[in-house]
Amino acid sequence: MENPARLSRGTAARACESECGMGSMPGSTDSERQEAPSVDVQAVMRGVRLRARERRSENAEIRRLAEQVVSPALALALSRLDAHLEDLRRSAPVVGAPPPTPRTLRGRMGAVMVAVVRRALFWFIPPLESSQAAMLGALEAQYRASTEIAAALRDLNAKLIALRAASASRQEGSERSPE
Amino acid sequence: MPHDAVGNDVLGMAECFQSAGCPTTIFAQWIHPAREYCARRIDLESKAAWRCPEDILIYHHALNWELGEELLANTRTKVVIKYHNVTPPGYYASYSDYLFQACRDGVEATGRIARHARAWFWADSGFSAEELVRMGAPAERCRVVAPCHRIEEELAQAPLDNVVLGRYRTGASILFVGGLRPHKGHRKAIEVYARYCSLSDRESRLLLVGGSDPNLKRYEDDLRAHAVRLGVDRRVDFAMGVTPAQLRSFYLAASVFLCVSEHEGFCVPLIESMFFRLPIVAWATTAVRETCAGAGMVYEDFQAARLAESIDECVENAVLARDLAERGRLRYERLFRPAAIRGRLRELLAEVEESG
Repeated sequence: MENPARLSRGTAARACESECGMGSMPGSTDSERQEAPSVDVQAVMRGVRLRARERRSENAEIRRLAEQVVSPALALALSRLDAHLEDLRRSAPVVGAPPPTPRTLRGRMGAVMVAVVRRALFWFIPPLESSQAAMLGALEAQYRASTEIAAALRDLNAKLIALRAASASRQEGSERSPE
Repeated sequence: MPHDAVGNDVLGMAECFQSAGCPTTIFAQWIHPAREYCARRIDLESKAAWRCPEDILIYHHALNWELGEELLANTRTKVVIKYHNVTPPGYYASYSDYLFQACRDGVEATGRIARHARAWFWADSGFSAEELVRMGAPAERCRVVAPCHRIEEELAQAPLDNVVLGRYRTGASILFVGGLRPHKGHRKAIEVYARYCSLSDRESRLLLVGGSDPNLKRYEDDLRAHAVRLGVDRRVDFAMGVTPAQLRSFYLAASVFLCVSEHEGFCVPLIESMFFRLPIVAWATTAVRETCAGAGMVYEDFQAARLAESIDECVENAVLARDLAERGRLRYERLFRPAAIRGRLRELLAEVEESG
Protein backbone atom coordinates (compact mmCIF):
# COMPACT_ATOMS: atom_id res chain seq x y z
CA MET A 1 0.00 0.00 0.00
CA GLU A 2 1.34 3.43 -0.90
CA ASN A 3 2.37 5.59 2.01
CA PRO A 4 -0.57 7.92 2.54
CA ALA A 5 1.72 10.86 3.38
CA ARG A 6 3.34 10.91 -0.05
CA LEU A 7 0.20 10.83 -2.23
CA SER A 8 0.19 14.56 -2.83
CA ARG A 9 3.84 14.93 -3.77
CA GLY A 10 3.00 16.37 -7.17
CA THR A 11 0.52 19.02 -6.03
CA ALA A 12 1.42 22.68 -5.71
CA ALA A 13 2.14 24.00 -2.24
CA ARG A 14 -0.65 25.75 -0.39
CA ALA A 15 -0.10 29.31 0.78
CA CYS A 16 1.43 29.92 4.16
CA GLU A 17 -0.91 29.81 7.11
CA SER A 18 -0.52 31.61 10.39
CA GLU A 19 1.41 29.62 12.97
CA CYS A 20 2.71 30.46 16.38
CA GLY A 21 6.46 30.22 16.89
CA MET A 22 7.46 30.68 13.25
CA GLY A 23 9.82 33.39 12.21
CA SER A 24 12.35 32.99 15.00
CA MET A 25 14.92 32.50 12.26
CA PRO A 26 15.15 35.61 10.14
CA GLY A 27 15.93 34.75 6.56
CA SER A 28 12.89 35.46 4.47
CA THR A 29 11.91 38.47 2.49
CA ASP A 30 8.69 37.01 1.01
CA SER A 31 5.29 38.25 2.06
CA GLU A 32 2.85 35.60 3.20
CA ARG A 33 -0.66 34.83 2.10
CA GLN A 34 -2.78 33.76 5.03
CA GLU A 35 -5.22 30.88 4.69
CA ALA A 36 -6.92 28.78 7.31
CA PRO A 37 -5.18 25.40 7.85
CA SER A 38 -7.25 22.40 6.85
CA VAL A 39 -6.28 20.34 9.90
CA ASP A 40 -6.14 21.58 13.45
CA VAL A 41 -2.83 20.01 14.38
CA GLN A 42 -3.04 21.22 17.98
CA ALA A 43 -6.38 19.44 18.37
CA VAL A 44 -4.87 16.27 16.94
CA MET A 45 -1.97 16.56 19.39
CA ARG A 46 -4.44 17.04 22.28
CA GLY A 47 -6.20 13.85 21.20
CA VAL A 48 -2.86 12.05 21.06
CA ARG A 49 -1.99 13.21 24.59
CA LEU A 50 -5.34 11.98 25.87
CA ARG A 51 -5.03 8.57 24.23
CA ALA A 52 -1.44 8.19 25.41
CA ARG A 53 -2.58 9.03 28.97
CA GLU A 54 -5.35 6.42 28.79
CA ARG A 55 -2.99 3.79 27.45
CA ARG A 56 -0.49 4.70 30.16
CA SER A 57 -3.01 4.07 32.92
CA GLU A 58 -4.05 0.80 31.25
CA ASN A 59 -0.41 -0.20 31.00
CA ALA A 60 0.25 0.85 34.59
CA GLU A 61 -2.55 -1.45 35.74
CA ILE A 62 -1.19 -4.28 33.62
CA ARG A 63 2.30 -3.68 35.00
CA ARG A 64 0.95 -3.74 38.53
CA LEU A 65 -0.68 -7.10 37.89
CA ALA A 66 2.48 -8.35 36.17
CA GLU A 67 4.57 -7.35 39.21
CA GLN A 68 2.30 -9.39 41.46
CA VAL A 69 2.78 -12.47 39.31
CA VAL A 70 6.58 -12.26 39.42
CA SER A 71 7.65 -13.78 42.72
CA PRO A 72 8.35 -11.23 45.50
CA ALA A 73 11.07 -13.64 46.65
CA LEU A 74 12.90 -12.98 43.35
CA ALA A 75 12.78 -9.21 43.91
CA LEU A 76 14.04 -9.70 47.46
CA ALA A 77 16.85 -11.97 46.31
CA LEU A 78 17.97 -9.41 43.73
CA SER A 79 17.91 -6.67 46.30
CA ARG A 80 20.06 -8.75 48.69
CA LEU A 81 22.47 -9.55 45.88
CA ASP A 82 22.83 -5.85 45.19
CA ALA A 83 23.59 -5.19 48.86
CA HIS A 84 26.22 -7.97 48.92
CA LEU A 85 27.81 -6.53 45.80
CA GLU A 86 27.97 -3.13 47.46
CA ASP A 87 29.76 -4.69 50.46
CA LEU A 88 32.19 -6.44 48.13
CA ARG A 89 32.90 -3.24 46.25
CA ARG A 90 33.73 -1.51 49.50
CA SER A 91 35.87 -4.32 50.91
CA ALA A 92 37.82 -5.34 47.77
CA PRO A 93 40.25 -2.41 47.79
CA VAL A 94 41.10 -3.09 51.45
CA VAL A 95 42.69 -6.51 50.74
CA GLY A 96 46.45 -6.14 50.74
CA ALA A 97 46.29 -2.44 51.51
CA PRO A 98 48.41 -1.23 54.42
CA PRO A 99 46.37 -0.57 57.60
CA PRO A 100 46.07 2.97 59.06
CA THR A 101 49.28 4.00 60.84
CA PRO A 102 49.08 5.91 64.14
CA ARG A 103 51.63 8.70 64.57
CA THR A 104 53.64 6.89 67.23
CA LEU A 105 57.04 5.22 67.17
CA ARG A 106 55.37 1.82 67.50
CA GLY A 107 52.99 2.74 64.68
CA ARG A 108 55.85 3.77 62.38
CA MET A 109 57.86 0.60 63.19
CA GLY A 110 54.72 -1.44 62.49
CA ALA A 111 54.25 0.31 59.13
CA VAL A 112 57.83 -0.59 58.18
CA MET A 113 57.21 -4.25 59.06
CA VAL A 114 53.95 -4.28 57.09
CA ALA A 115 55.78 -2.80 54.09
CA VAL A 116 58.48 -5.49 54.35
CA VAL A 117 55.86 -8.26 54.57
CA ARG A 118 53.95 -6.74 51.60
CA ARG A 119 57.16 -6.69 49.58
CA ALA A 120 57.82 -10.32 50.53
CA LEU A 121 54.32 -11.27 49.34
CA PHE A 122 54.86 -9.83 45.86
CA TRP A 123 53.90 -13.26 44.43
CA PHE A 124 50.66 -13.42 46.38
CA ILE A 125 48.98 -10.04 46.76
CA PRO A 126 48.71 -8.87 43.11
CA PRO A 127 47.18 -12.18 41.85
CA LEU A 128 44.81 -12.11 44.82
CA GLU A 129 43.74 -8.55 43.99
CA SER A 130 43.17 -9.32 40.31
CA SER A 131 41.31 -12.52 41.16
CA GLN A 132 39.04 -10.56 43.49
CA ALA A 133 38.45 -7.93 40.82
CA ALA A 134 37.57 -10.69 38.35
CA MET A 135 35.15 -12.28 40.82
CA LEU A 136 33.53 -8.95 41.54
CA GLY A 137 33.20 -8.33 37.78
CA ALA A 138 31.62 -11.75 37.30
CA LEU A 139 29.16 -11.19 40.14
CA GLU A 140 28.19 -7.79 38.79
CA ALA A 141 27.63 -9.30 35.34
CA GLN A 142 25.48 -11.97 36.93
CA TYR A 143 23.49 -9.35 38.81
CA ARG A 144 22.89 -7.39 35.61
CA ALA A 145 21.82 -10.55 33.78
CA SER A 146 19.46 -11.47 36.63
CA THR A 147 17.81 -8.05 36.67
CA GLU A 148 17.36 -8.22 32.90
CA ILE A 149 15.79 -11.66 33.21
CA ALA A 150 13.46 -10.37 35.92
CA ALA A 151 12.52 -7.39 33.72
CA ALA A 152 11.91 -9.69 30.73
CA LEU A 153 9.74 -11.89 32.93
CA ARG A 154 7.67 -8.89 34.01
CA ASP A 155 7.30 -7.76 30.39
CA LEU A 156 6.23 -11.23 29.33
CA ASN A 157 3.66 -11.37 32.08
CA ALA A 158 2.42 -7.90 31.15
CA LYS A 159 1.95 -9.04 27.54
CA LEU A 160 0.17 -12.19 28.66
CA ILE A 161 -2.20 -10.17 30.83
CA ALA A 162 -2.85 -7.73 27.97
CA LEU A 163 -3.51 -10.60 25.55
CA ARG A 164 -5.88 -12.30 27.99
CA ALA A 165 -7.73 -9.02 28.49
CA ALA A 166 -7.98 -8.45 24.72
CA SER A 167 -9.15 -12.01 24.14
CA ALA A 168 -11.73 -11.72 26.92
CA SER A 169 -13.14 -8.49 25.53
CA ARG A 170 -13.33 -9.97 22.00
CA GLN A 171 -15.15 -12.97 23.37
CA GLU A 172 -17.52 -10.65 25.22
CA GLY A 173 -18.10 -8.70 22.04
CA SER A 174 -18.88 -11.81 19.99
CA GLU A 175 -21.23 -13.14 22.70
CA ARG A 176 -23.19 -9.89 22.66
CA SER A 177 -23.61 -9.90 18.88
CA PRO A 178 -23.53 -13.47 17.69
CA GLU A 179 -24.41 -12.43 14.11
CA MET B 1 34.39 17.70 3.78
CA PRO B 2 31.58 16.94 1.33
CA HIS B 3 28.08 16.14 2.69
CA ASP B 4 29.02 17.68 6.02
CA ALA B 5 26.77 20.36 7.52
CA VAL B 6 29.63 22.68 8.50
CA GLY B 7 31.38 22.16 5.17
CA ASN B 8 28.18 22.96 3.30
CA ASP B 9 27.75 26.13 5.32
CA VAL B 10 31.31 27.24 4.54
CA LEU B 11 30.80 26.56 0.85
CA GLY B 12 27.38 28.16 0.75
CA MET B 13 28.61 31.31 2.46
CA ALA B 14 31.54 31.60 0.08
CA GLU B 15 29.26 31.25 -2.92
CA CYS B 16 26.83 33.79 -1.48
CA PHE B 17 29.44 36.44 -0.85
CA GLN B 18 31.26 35.75 -4.09
CA SER B 19 28.05 36.19 -6.06
CA ALA B 20 27.42 39.46 -4.20
CA GLY B 21 30.69 40.81 -5.56
CA CYS B 22 32.76 40.18 -2.43
CA PRO B 23 36.02 38.30 -3.22
CA THR B 24 36.04 35.28 -0.92
CA THR B 25 38.63 32.64 -0.13
CA ILE B 26 38.17 29.50 1.95
CA PHE B 27 41.14 28.62 4.13
CA ALA B 28 41.52 25.35 6.01
CA GLN B 29 44.19 23.30 7.71
CA TRP B 30 42.96 19.98 6.30
CA ILE B 31 41.13 19.85 2.99
CA HIS B 32 39.22 16.84 1.65
CA PRO B 33 40.39 15.93 -1.89
CA ALA B 34 36.86 16.59 -3.21
CA ARG B 35 37.08 20.17 -1.98
CA GLU B 36 40.61 21.02 -2.99
CA TYR B 37 39.25 22.95 -5.93
CA CYS B 38 37.72 25.61 -3.71
CA ALA B 39 39.91 25.87 -0.61
CA ARG B 40 43.48 26.85 0.26
CA ARG B 41 45.73 25.63 3.03
CA ILE B 42 46.29 28.15 5.76
CA ASP B 43 49.71 29.77 5.61
CA LEU B 44 50.23 31.73 8.80
CA GLU B 45 53.70 32.78 7.71
CA SER B 46 52.57 34.83 4.76
CA LYS B 47 50.19 36.81 6.99
CA ALA B 48 48.94 38.70 3.95
CA ALA B 49 45.44 37.36 4.40
CA TRP B 50 45.23 38.51 8.01
CA ARG B 51 46.59 42.03 7.81
CA CYS B 52 43.99 44.21 6.19
CA PRO B 53 41.55 45.75 8.70
CA GLU B 54 38.89 46.10 6.00
CA ASP B 55 38.83 42.36 5.36
CA ILE B 56 36.47 40.07 7.25
CA LEU B 57 37.54 36.75 8.71
CA ILE B 58 34.62 34.36 9.18
CA TYR B 59 35.72 31.64 11.56
CA HIS B 60 33.57 28.51 11.59
CA HIS B 61 33.73 27.02 15.07
CA ALA B 62 32.59 23.47 15.82
CA LEU B 63 35.66 21.91 17.51
CA ASN B 64 38.80 22.85 19.36
CA TRP B 65 41.31 24.13 16.81
CA GLU B 66 44.61 25.49 18.08
CA LEU B 67 45.77 26.91 14.78
CA GLY B 68 42.42 28.60 14.35
CA GLU B 69 42.62 30.28 17.74
CA GLU B 70 46.15 31.42 16.95
CA LEU B 71 44.73 32.97 13.81
CA LEU B 72 41.98 34.71 15.72
CA ALA B 73 44.46 36.10 18.20
CA ASN B 74 46.74 37.54 15.52
CA THR B 75 44.38 38.68 12.81
CA ARG B 76 43.91 42.39 12.18
CA THR B 77 40.78 41.87 10.12
CA LYS B 78 37.20 42.21 11.30
CA VAL B 79 36.09 38.93 12.81
CA VAL B 80 32.90 36.92 12.60
CA ILE B 81 32.56 33.69 14.54
CA LYS B 82 30.06 31.31 12.95
CA TYR B 83 29.07 28.99 15.77
CA HIS B 84 27.89 25.50 14.87
CA ASN B 85 27.56 24.27 18.45
CA VAL B 86 29.72 21.73 20.24
CA THR B 87 28.15 18.56 21.61
CA PRO B 88 28.33 18.40 25.41
CA PRO B 89 31.10 15.89 26.20
CA GLY B 90 28.99 13.92 28.69
CA TYR B 91 27.26 12.07 25.85
CA TYR B 92 30.53 10.41 24.92
CA ALA B 93 31.71 9.56 28.43
CA SER B 94 30.59 5.93 28.21
CA TYR B 95 31.65 5.38 24.63
CA SER B 96 34.85 7.10 23.61
CA ASP B 97 37.55 8.81 25.67
CA TYR B 98 38.88 10.38 22.50
CA LEU B 99 35.58 11.99 21.51
CA PHE B 100 34.81 12.92 25.11
CA GLN B 101 38.09 14.80 25.28
CA ALA B 102 37.56 16.36 21.85
CA CYS B 103 34.15 17.70 22.89
CA ARG B 104 35.45 18.90 26.22
CA ASP B 105 38.25 20.76 24.45
CA GLY B 106 35.68 22.12 22.01
CA VAL B 107 33.48 23.47 24.79
CA GLU B 108 36.47 25.11 26.46
CA ALA B 109 37.46 26.62 23.14
CA THR B 110 33.94 28.02 22.78
CA GLY B 111 34.35 29.75 26.12
CA ARG B 112 37.57 31.39 24.97
CA ILE B 113 36.25 32.33 21.54
CA ALA B 114 33.03 33.78 22.96
CA ARG B 115 35.12 36.37 24.79
CA HIS B 116 36.86 37.59 21.64
CA ALA B 117 37.08 41.33 22.04
CA ARG B 118 35.76 42.59 18.72
CA ALA B 119 34.06 39.65 17.04
CA TRP B 120 30.54 39.37 15.72
CA PHE B 121 28.84 36.09 16.43
CA TRP B 122 26.57 34.34 13.96
CA ALA B 123 24.86 31.27 15.39
CA ASP B 124 22.92 28.56 13.54
CA SER B 125 20.01 28.98 15.93
CA GLY B 126 18.67 31.07 18.79
CA PHE B 127 19.53 28.16 21.08
CA SER B 128 23.19 28.33 20.01
CA ALA B 129 23.19 32.13 20.25
CA GLU B 130 21.95 31.94 23.85
CA GLU B 131 24.70 29.47 24.62
CA LEU B 132 27.31 31.88 23.27
CA VAL B 133 25.92 34.73 25.36
CA ARG B 134 26.05 32.53 28.48
CA MET B 135 29.69 31.87 27.70
CA GLY B 136 30.52 35.53 27.51
CA ALA B 137 29.69 36.76 24.01
CA PRO B 138 28.05 40.19 23.95
CA ALA B 139 24.35 39.76 23.19
CA GLU B 140 24.28 42.91 21.05
CA ARG B 141 26.79 41.35 18.63
CA CYS B 142 25.04 37.98 18.36
CA ARG B 143 22.93 37.17 15.34
CA VAL B 144 21.06 34.11 14.15
CA VAL B 145 21.27 32.78 10.60
CA ALA B 146 20.40 29.29 9.43
CA PRO B 147 23.28 27.34 7.93
CA CYS B 148 23.64 27.13 4.17
CA HIS B 149 22.81 23.75 2.75
CA ARG B 150 22.88 21.93 -0.56
CA ILE B 151 19.47 20.32 -0.48
CA GLU B 152 18.33 21.78 -3.78
CA GLU B 153 21.68 21.68 -5.61
CA GLU B 154 22.75 18.18 -4.61
CA LEU B 155 20.20 16.16 -2.68
CA ALA B 156 17.14 16.99 -4.75
CA GLN B 157 19.10 16.47 -7.99
CA ALA B 158 20.47 13.06 -7.03
CA PRO B 159 19.04 10.15 -9.02
CA LEU B 160 16.58 7.80 -7.31
CA ASP B 161 17.77 4.56 -5.77
CA ASN B 162 15.26 1.91 -6.79
CA VAL B 163 16.48 -0.57 -4.21
CA VAL B 164 15.67 1.82 -1.36
CA LEU B 165 12.39 2.90 -2.90
CA GLY B 166 11.34 -0.66 -3.60
CA ARG B 167 12.14 -1.83 -0.10
CA TYR B 168 10.58 0.99 1.91
CA ARG B 169 7.78 2.45 -0.14
CA THR B 170 5.18 0.00 1.14
CA GLY B 171 4.08 -0.16 4.73
CA ALA B 172 5.09 2.56 7.18
CA SER B 173 8.71 3.66 7.20
CA ILE B 174 9.77 5.87 10.09
CA LEU B 175 12.94 7.72 9.26
CA PHE B 176 15.64 9.41 11.28
CA VAL B 177 18.69 10.91 9.61
CA GLY B 178 21.70 11.73 11.73
CA GLY B 179 25.20 10.48 12.44
CA LEU B 180 25.37 7.48 14.77
CA ARG B 181 26.27 9.55 17.84
CA PRO B 182 25.01 9.25 21.40
CA HIS B 183 23.36 12.69 21.51
CA LYS B 184 21.20 11.96 18.46
CA GLY B 185 18.66 9.98 20.47
CA HIS B 186 18.71 6.72 18.51
CA ARG B 187 17.98 4.78 21.67
CA LYS B 188 14.87 6.84 22.29
CA ALA B 189 13.87 6.49 18.63
CA ILE B 190 14.00 2.71 18.98
CA GLU B 191 11.90 2.94 22.13
CA VAL B 192 9.30 5.10 20.38
CA TYR B 193 9.25 2.70 17.46
CA ALA B 194 8.76 -0.29 19.76
CA ARG B 195 5.75 1.52 21.27
CA TYR B 196 4.42 2.21 17.80
CA CYS B 197 4.74 -1.49 16.91
CA SER B 198 2.74 -2.41 20.00
CA LEU B 199 -0.19 -0.19 19.00
CA SER B 200 -0.25 -0.69 15.25
CA ASP B 201 -0.55 -3.89 13.21
CA ARG B 202 0.74 -2.15 10.10
CA GLU B 203 3.90 -3.49 8.54
CA SER B 204 6.59 -0.95 9.39
CA ARG B 205 10.30 -0.30 9.72
CA LEU B 206 12.49 2.17 11.56
CA LEU B 207 15.23 3.54 9.33
CA LEU B 208 18.27 4.97 11.08
CA VAL B 209 20.29 6.66 8.35
CA GLY B 210 23.56 8.48 8.80
CA GLY B 211 27.32 8.25 9.09
CA SER B 212 29.10 5.97 11.52
CA ASP B 213 32.28 6.58 13.49
CA PRO B 214 34.78 3.79 14.23
CA ASN B 215 35.28 5.32 17.69
CA LEU B 216 31.62 4.63 18.49
CA LYS B 217 31.33 0.92 17.69
CA ARG B 218 30.12 0.30 21.26
CA TYR B 219 27.31 2.79 20.80
CA GLU B 220 26.14 0.98 17.68
CA ASP B 221 26.33 -2.37 19.50
CA ASP B 222 24.32 -0.93 22.39
CA LEU B 223 21.63 0.27 20.00
CA ARG B 224 21.35 -3.12 18.35
CA ALA B 225 21.15 -4.79 21.77
CA HIS B 226 18.45 -2.32 22.80
CA ALA B 227 16.44 -3.16 19.68
CA VAL B 228 16.77 -6.87 20.51
CA ARG B 229 15.61 -6.25 24.09
CA LEU B 230 12.54 -4.42 22.83
CA GLY B 231 11.81 -7.11 20.26
CA VAL B 232 12.13 -4.87 17.19
CA ASP B 233 15.61 -5.78 15.98
CA ARG B 234 14.31 -7.34 12.77
CA ARG B 235 12.44 -4.14 11.92
CA VAL B 236 15.16 -1.60 12.64
CA ASP B 237 17.47 -0.91 9.71
CA PHE B 238 20.78 0.86 10.10
CA ALA B 239 21.91 2.52 6.88
CA MET B 240 25.37 3.98 7.30
CA GLY B 241 27.37 6.02 4.80
CA VAL B 242 24.56 6.43 2.28
CA THR B 243 24.96 8.18 -1.05
CA PRO B 244 22.92 11.29 -1.93
CA ALA B 245 20.78 9.09 -4.21
CA GLN B 246 20.01 6.71 -1.36
CA LEU B 247 19.34 9.57 1.04
CA ARG B 248 16.93 11.24 -1.37
CA SER B 249 15.17 7.92 -1.86
CA PHE B 250 14.88 7.39 1.90
CA TYR B 251 13.16 10.76 2.24
CA LEU B 252 10.78 9.99 -0.60
CA ALA B 253 9.94 6.49 0.62
CA ALA B 254 9.43 7.33 4.30
CA SER B 255 6.05 8.03 5.91
CA VAL B 256 7.22 10.07 8.88
CA PHE B 257 10.41 11.74 10.09
CA LEU B 258 11.00 11.06 13.77
CA CYS B 259 13.42 13.30 15.65
CA VAL B 260 14.13 12.60 19.31
CA SER B 261 17.65 13.93 19.24
CA GLU B 262 18.79 15.14 22.66
CA HIS B 263 21.09 17.87 21.44
CA GLU B 264 21.06 19.80 18.16
CA GLY B 265 22.56 23.10 17.13
CA PHE B 266 20.14 23.33 14.19
CA CYS B 267 19.31 19.90 12.70
CA VAL B 268 19.63 20.05 8.91
CA PRO B 269 17.71 16.76 8.42
CA LEU B 270 14.60 18.54 9.74
CA ILE B 271 14.68 21.05 6.90
CA GLU B 272 15.50 18.24 4.46
CA SER B 273 12.28 16.56 5.66
CA MET B 274 10.39 19.81 5.17
CA PHE B 275 11.74 20.12 1.65
CA PHE B 276 10.72 16.58 0.80
CA ARG B 277 7.27 17.10 2.36
CA LEU B 278 7.78 14.46 5.01
CA PRO B 279 5.59 14.89 8.11
CA ILE B 280 7.66 15.46 11.24
CA VAL B 281 7.11 14.07 14.72
CA ALA B 282 9.66 15.44 17.16
CA TRP B 283 10.73 16.07 20.71
CA ALA B 284 11.36 19.79 21.17
CA THR B 285 14.85 19.76 22.65
CA THR B 286 17.56 22.38 22.14
CA ALA B 287 17.35 23.84 18.61
CA VAL B 288 14.79 21.31 17.34
CA ARG B 289 12.01 23.43 18.81
CA GLU B 290 12.81 26.51 16.78
CA THR B 291 13.84 24.71 13.59
CA CYS B 292 10.49 22.90 13.53
CA ALA B 293 8.23 25.50 15.13
CA GLY B 294 4.76 24.52 13.95
CA ALA B 295 5.91 22.44 11.01
CA GLY B 296 5.24 19.12 12.69
CA MET B 297 3.84 17.39 15.74
CA VAL B 298 6.39 18.62 18.25
CA TYR B 299 6.18 17.89 21.97
CA GLU B 300 7.98 19.65 24.81
CA ASP B 301 8.64 16.54 26.87
CA PHE B 302 9.69 13.07 25.82
CA GLN B 303 7.01 10.44 26.16
CA ALA B 304 7.48 7.44 23.91
CA ALA B 305 3.79 6.57 23.98
CA ARG B 306 2.74 10.03 22.85
CA LEU B 307 5.27 10.14 20.04
CA ALA B 308 4.24 6.65 18.96
CA GLU B 309 0.58 7.71 18.84
CA SER B 310 1.57 10.72 16.74
CA ILE B 311 3.39 8.50 14.28
CA ASP B 312 0.29 6.35 14.08
CA GLU B 313 -1.81 9.45 13.39
CA CYS B 314 0.50 10.53 10.59
CA VAL B 315 0.50 7.09 9.02
CA GLU B 316 -3.24 6.43 9.28
CA ASN B 317 -4.60 9.93 8.70
CA ALA B 318 -3.73 10.93 5.13
CA VAL B 319 -5.25 14.39 5.49
CA LEU B 320 -3.18 15.16 8.57
CA ALA B 321 -0.02 13.82 6.93
CA ARG B 322 -0.61 15.95 3.86
CA ASP B 323 -1.26 19.02 5.97
CA LEU B 324 1.91 18.54 8.00
CA ALA B 325 3.88 17.91 4.82
CA GLU B 326 2.66 21.17 3.32
CA ARG B 327 3.31 23.13 6.52
CA GLY B 328 6.83 21.84 6.49
CA ARG B 329 7.39 22.72 2.86
CA LEU B 330 5.96 26.20 3.37
CA ARG B 331 8.23 26.74 6.36
CA TYR B 332 11.17 25.63 4.26
CA GLU B 333 10.21 28.02 1.45
CA ARG B 334 9.75 30.89 3.87
CA LEU B 335 12.86 30.53 6.01
CA PHE B 336 15.28 27.96 4.72
CA ARG B 337 15.41 28.08 0.96
CA PRO B 338 18.88 29.13 -0.26
CA ALA B 339 17.75 32.57 -1.43
CA ALA B 340 16.29 33.35 2.00
CA ILE B 341 19.44 32.31 3.83
CA ARG B 342 21.65 34.19 1.39
CA GLY B 343 19.58 37.33 1.81
CA ARG B 344 20.05 37.12 5.54
CA LEU B 345 23.79 36.53 5.16
CA ARG B 346 24.15 39.60 2.97
CA GLU B 347 22.33 41.70 5.57
CA LEU B 348 24.63 40.47 8.30
CA LEU B 349 27.72 40.98 6.20
CA ALA B 350 26.70 44.56 5.48
CA GLU B 351 26.27 45.11 9.22
CA VAL B 352 29.79 43.84 9.89
CA GLU B 353 31.25 45.91 7.05
CA GLU B 354 29.68 49.07 8.43
CA SER B 355 30.81 48.37 11.95
CA GLY B 356 34.02 49.81 13.42
